[in-house]
Amino acid sequence: MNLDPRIIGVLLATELRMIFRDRRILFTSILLPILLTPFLILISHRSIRHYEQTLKTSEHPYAVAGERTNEVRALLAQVHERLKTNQQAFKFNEKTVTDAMTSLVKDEVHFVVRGFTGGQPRATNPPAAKGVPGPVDKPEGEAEVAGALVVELVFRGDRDYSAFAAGSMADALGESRRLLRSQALVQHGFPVQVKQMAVVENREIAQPKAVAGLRLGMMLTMFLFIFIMMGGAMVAADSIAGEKERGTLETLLTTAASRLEILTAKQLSILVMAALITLIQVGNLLAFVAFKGFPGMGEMSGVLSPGIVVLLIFLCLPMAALACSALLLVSGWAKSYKEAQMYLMPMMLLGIVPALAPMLPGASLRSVLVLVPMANLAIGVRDVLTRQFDWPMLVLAWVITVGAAAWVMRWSARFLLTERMITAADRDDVEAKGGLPLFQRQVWRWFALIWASLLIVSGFSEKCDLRVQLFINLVLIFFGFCCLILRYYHLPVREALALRAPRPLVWLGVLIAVPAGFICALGAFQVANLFLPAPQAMVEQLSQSVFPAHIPAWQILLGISVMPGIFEEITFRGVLLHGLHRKLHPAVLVVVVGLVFGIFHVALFRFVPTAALGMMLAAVTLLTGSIFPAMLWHALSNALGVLAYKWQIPENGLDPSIYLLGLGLLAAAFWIFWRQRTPYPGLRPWRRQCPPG
Amino acid sequence: MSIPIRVQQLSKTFFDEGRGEVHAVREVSFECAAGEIFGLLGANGAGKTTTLRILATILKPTSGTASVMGHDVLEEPEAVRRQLGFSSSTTALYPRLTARETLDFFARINGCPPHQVKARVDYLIERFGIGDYASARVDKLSQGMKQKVALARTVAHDPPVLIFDEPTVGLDVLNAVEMQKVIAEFRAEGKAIIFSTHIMSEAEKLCDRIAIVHRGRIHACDTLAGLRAATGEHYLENIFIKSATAAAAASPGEP
Repeated sequence: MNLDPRIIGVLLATELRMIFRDRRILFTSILLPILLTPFLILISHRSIRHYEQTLKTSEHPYAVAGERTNEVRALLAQVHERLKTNQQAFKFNEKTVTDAMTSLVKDEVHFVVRGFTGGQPRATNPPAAKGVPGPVDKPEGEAEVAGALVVELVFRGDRDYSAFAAGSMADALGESRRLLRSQALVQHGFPVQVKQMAVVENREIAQPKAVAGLRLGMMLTMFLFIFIMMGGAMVAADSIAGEKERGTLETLLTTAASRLEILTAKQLSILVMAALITLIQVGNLLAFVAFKGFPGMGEMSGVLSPGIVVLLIFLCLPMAALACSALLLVSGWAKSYKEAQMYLMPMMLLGIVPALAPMLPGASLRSVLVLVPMANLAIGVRDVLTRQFDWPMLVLAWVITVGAAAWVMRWSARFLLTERMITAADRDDVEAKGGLPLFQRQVWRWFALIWASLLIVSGFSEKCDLRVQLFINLVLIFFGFCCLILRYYHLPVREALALRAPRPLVWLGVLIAVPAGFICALGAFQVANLFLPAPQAMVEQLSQSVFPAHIPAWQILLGISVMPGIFEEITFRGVLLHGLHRKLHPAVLVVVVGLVFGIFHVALFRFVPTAALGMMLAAVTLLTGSIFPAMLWHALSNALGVLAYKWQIPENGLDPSIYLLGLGLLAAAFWIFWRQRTPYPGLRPWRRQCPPG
Repeated sequence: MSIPIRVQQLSKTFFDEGRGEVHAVREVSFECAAGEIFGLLGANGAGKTTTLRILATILKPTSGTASVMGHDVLEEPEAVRRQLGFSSSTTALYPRLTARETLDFFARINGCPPHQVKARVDYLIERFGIGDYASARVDKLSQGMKQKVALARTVAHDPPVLIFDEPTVGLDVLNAVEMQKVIAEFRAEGKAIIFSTHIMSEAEKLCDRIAIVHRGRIHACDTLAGLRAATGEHYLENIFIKSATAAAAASPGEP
């Protein structure tokens, strides 16, 4: 479909004109952020300062209790004297009470200092809360010295005054204890002061810019996402849902502008508003940084050189496009402005999750996270701010997020074509009929769900035995979802899973293709390794986890070879391929099924070989119209991998002639498949058919 | 010369959560020539609006074909929309645009050459007498003023085909008469016009040919004189009731 820039320009100009004349949008999206955000930042900053100052300057009453109160008071007097000499702000004074613990409970005192004799049993009244540390300055696991004074600070963690005062007192007592120990040692003939014994220093070798960049990079994407949502939400809600409600959408849809042009203009208008609000909010923050509103933020100005800012904008654009596409999708789905608004908050919360990816410990672009839209660029932003430029992965992350944004936008465009937009019918013809047409429409939703289930479950099952993991992944998730899909759409099992017998010679082709495909997949891995080197430790770790020594070989073969041959084939060359076979051109179908197969193997370094194998399996299924050759090929290929590992056959660094031989054999196998072809029914024609004459 | 509007065996089926499958339009066929007002006369829910929405490419037909100025509604929807102006009681104007901005926008978006837009807008403002409030925002206009702007908007790009779906619903008598007068002027300019209504007097007064639509089907289609001759009734109201009753008797199973 052609996009006419002139028409998009007219639509965009009109959209923006209307947006800037809408008081609701002006007030909520522009005026409020301009006025309210500085106010909120100022108020919160002042409040925190005031709170900290009040805690520091207040006088904290405490009580003394226990068996050795005199010694405790003497110790506290020393602390008092030392703090006074050092002009430290922490103030405390003893309050005479009848029952110290009761007074603490009643908030009459902020903390209680109790003195005990070490090694002797003592009453624990009241019981300490979980997580409250033990006696001050006592290393973990160190036994109390019999007869020595034990000072216990009792406080209430649910009272800010109590927690602050006890914490300050703990620091002060700890310091006093060190001084006393030092004095005692010197008095008993120790030749030097204790503090002269050894000096421990920290040395930071990272550039201050990079350290500040890390701090900024962990939060930047999240803030930008929130700003984009703040700016775009109202405009998006008005954009389609509002037009539906007002009846202007029907007017617009009867003009010569195409649906995609209308949608592009709406998308751009949301993007413009989101960018405007983001600029306003970033301006707010920078103004406060400039005025030293945030201590320690000033150093961040050095992080953002012009080049870095340009790169960040480039990285953030797909994120903004994705967020705006999602907003538009919600607006298209909703039937009214209010309904759209109702969906926006959950969507915002959902969107923040990937934006928080940089805060995950060890989150790296060289992990499966690179495949997660938005999360990948969020990590990319952090890496750029810490001066780590992993260009291939940044490009991959950018492409994936752009792809996701385009996909969501296409999805939104469909809402402009569905009849739920303007008729009373809640569902259109396809939805009414169900079956394959509806599954074809919803196939990606299902596979996103399967992928998410696999990721979530693997988080819990990774500590389980390999056999349990395989059972969960292959039988419960893959096969379970396939059965659900077949039942939900009433798909005929034989057609959906391509359960047809191929011609006999096809089996010969499979036997040739197995070693050939295996070698070619290894070759693909070697080529990919040049661009995305797989960490050797990761490869070995995977081998050890997939081939554990304690599991008998036959069970490994069953779990790694036979079961994937059946269940993964049912999932990918069965259900997925069936769902896509009428939507995509056969060549594109082969590539897409292979890529999805690769993505489902999660580890990035396995992506290329598994995707290559997935494409070959999809091709053989389309040529033979049967899933059985792919099942046998898959099972034997995996078995070959197991045996190669068992017999220590080197998989890397094979002679180039071996790869050429593999390619030749693969070509021979596909020649057999081609000659014996019984194509998958219902495929789109390979070439566009011209009308006769 | 090709026929501006040609509809053949057009059907549309919806699925409604409550009612199940709804056959809104069943095998409808008709043609409309240039300089003709073709009326679709039927009760509410007869399938008039669905037929017109298919012609305006807002909905897709379940089966059958329709073309506007030779362009198929499924194959070339943008080309179809460039050739027609669509106005209905449910289509609204943008409240935050002025009358002039509205006309400018719809002229440009429907493919009017940029250098002709200003002249065209000035002409429309003059012709429809909206000069006094051309710079006022639409949400500040009265119903009658809005109606004039809406009519001007429909012909902003001077299309050869016009579709009016119950345009007088909600208008007072004076405005309704004014609307009918303008539609008759469009006919005189040689435009092919489809006019749907459930108001018999309007159809009698305006339409050159009338199709009586009932439960998604066209049960009679002729000039008023032809319909009178075929049914032996003089008043359109009686013609309509006779046709609808005969249709119900002929196909009792159809919802």
